[in-house]
Amino acid sequence: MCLHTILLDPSNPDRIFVAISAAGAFRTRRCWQDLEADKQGTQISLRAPDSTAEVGHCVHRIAMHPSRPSVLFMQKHWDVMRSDNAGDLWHEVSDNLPSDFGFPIDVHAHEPETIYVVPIKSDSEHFPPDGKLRVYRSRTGGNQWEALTNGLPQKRLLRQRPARRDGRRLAR
Amino acid sequence: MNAASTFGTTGGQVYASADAGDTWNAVVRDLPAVLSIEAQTLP
Repeated sequence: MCLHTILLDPSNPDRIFVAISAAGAFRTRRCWQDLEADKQGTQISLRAPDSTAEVGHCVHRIAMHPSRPSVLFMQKHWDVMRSDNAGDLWHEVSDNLPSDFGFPIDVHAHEPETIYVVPIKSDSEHFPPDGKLRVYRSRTGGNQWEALTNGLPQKRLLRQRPARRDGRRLAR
Repeated sequence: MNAASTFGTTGGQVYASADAGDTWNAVVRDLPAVLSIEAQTLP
């Protein structure tokens, strides 16, 4: 568990967003004195232990374009999500991704509706689906994703663990 | 306007794109696991 994301709202110096693995996404209401959980924040995911809980969601990253600080994008443990009201309500935008598990999410520096993720197979298998390193881009703020592969390894990405003298694979 | 995009891998590579992700180049390989990246534009 760690606090991995801190986003400053350029239009409101009193508003800060933070995200914490296994805790959720939070924003300030009045400076630092009153952190509130985004009440309807991540309740859409059916795979969360308690989908209606205010806290306890495993948020891996949130991203924002500085020109539109009320539009947030989230890569959750599972699910890629979007909020158009600064986190009051989130909806899923994973659509045609090969997996909606992942860690990074980011917004293009000059195109607020262009976002990027790197899908990972699952939380127990931390490698890209099919062993191909693919960045996925949506130019529509989610839901319509295209794979970006030019220049990225599409084979031999996964290496077999070295064998011991007795021929058995080393446990990780 | 194009902007550089970068990401690192736990395999020790750093990839960069100057065309919004259409093409990527390995900036560096064989590093230890790359856990985070900060990009800076030099004047």
